[in-house]
Amino acid sequence: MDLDFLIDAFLAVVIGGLGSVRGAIVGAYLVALAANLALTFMTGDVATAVSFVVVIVILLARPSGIFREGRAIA
Amino acid sequence: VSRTLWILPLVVAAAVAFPFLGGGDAYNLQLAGDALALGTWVMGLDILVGYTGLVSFGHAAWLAVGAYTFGYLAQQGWDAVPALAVTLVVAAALSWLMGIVATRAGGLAFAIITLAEGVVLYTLILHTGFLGGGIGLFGVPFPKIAGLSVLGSERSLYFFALVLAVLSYLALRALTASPAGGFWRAIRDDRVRARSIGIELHRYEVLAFVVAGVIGAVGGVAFVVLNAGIGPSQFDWTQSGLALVILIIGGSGTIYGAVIGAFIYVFASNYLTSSFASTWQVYFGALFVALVLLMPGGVAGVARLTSGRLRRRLA
Repeated sequence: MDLDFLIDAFLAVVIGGLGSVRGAIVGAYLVALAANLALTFMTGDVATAVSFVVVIVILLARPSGIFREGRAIA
Repeated sequence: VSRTLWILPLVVAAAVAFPFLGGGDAYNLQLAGDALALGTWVMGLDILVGYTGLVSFGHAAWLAVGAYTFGYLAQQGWDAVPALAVTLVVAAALSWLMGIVATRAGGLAFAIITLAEGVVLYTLILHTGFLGGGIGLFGVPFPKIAGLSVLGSERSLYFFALVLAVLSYLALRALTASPAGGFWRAIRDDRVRARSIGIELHRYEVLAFVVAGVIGAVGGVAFVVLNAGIGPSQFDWTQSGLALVILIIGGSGTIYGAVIGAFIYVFASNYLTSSFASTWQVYFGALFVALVLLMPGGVAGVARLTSGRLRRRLA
């Protein structure tokens, strides 16, 4: 469904760091790269799941995104 | 809360009487059962969203965990009581694992991680052969309850969902009134302050996540019994959005608001689809926007406001 674009955009922005335009660009590249690399080696829905695992790992390493300084509390 | 103690027995009495009164034809009874199942599922989400202030975009996972575990055991001929116990344990273990990961980050990152976990679980389930694979789990028989074959008629299914909903509501109300409930609200209102007075944020956030997962799975149990199965479209990520829509319509931070929201959603969507087969979502969207604009606190919020005003006027 077209709703998937909504998710991709959301993922890109959060991975890059909210409030950072640079982050959105880098985030978009990362999301697209993860999704398409996974798609090269796996079938459709498994690839989606794998790109989501990449997202989880990035967010665990940097909870407020790649280009955002300042830590989340906790 | 204690001043409104008489409302719960009244509502339960009305719910028990419902199948025996005018509104109890088979179709409405089925819808009411569905609403109770979805309401129970969303009640769990309220602990995260309404009480702890963590917005989850992966609540559909718990509907699936409850439905698949219980449904699979029922297919193996298990009795409902041990099957429910095993389902609760599985849901608690899984939500503990996923909660530890998700609560490492707050705010939007939490929303994204829960969304991602939901998608991963969705894919895992659809690739597990003995769970029916990409078709879903179907042909789930009615399990016996403590050795008795009481399930079968629409009325019995409705009561099954009702019992699970009431038990879940009582459990959640006791939990939110306990010290843990106070900690959840403190975390929701101000994380910095909560931590500075010594609340272990991570620990209580994981606890909220586990409670949400377990109660969500109870909703899944009711769902799989009522529908004799569950299909992939019933627990994909858009269903997690549905859980939030139901919670916002009903009113978060109240627990019972989830059930109100589920009734509005189930009845509105069913009667809208019968009149506007392909465009019903346009009307439901308009209804949703209107409800959010007119009642920012959901239906439960308005109910609380008017009952407070009435009480003041009478006093």
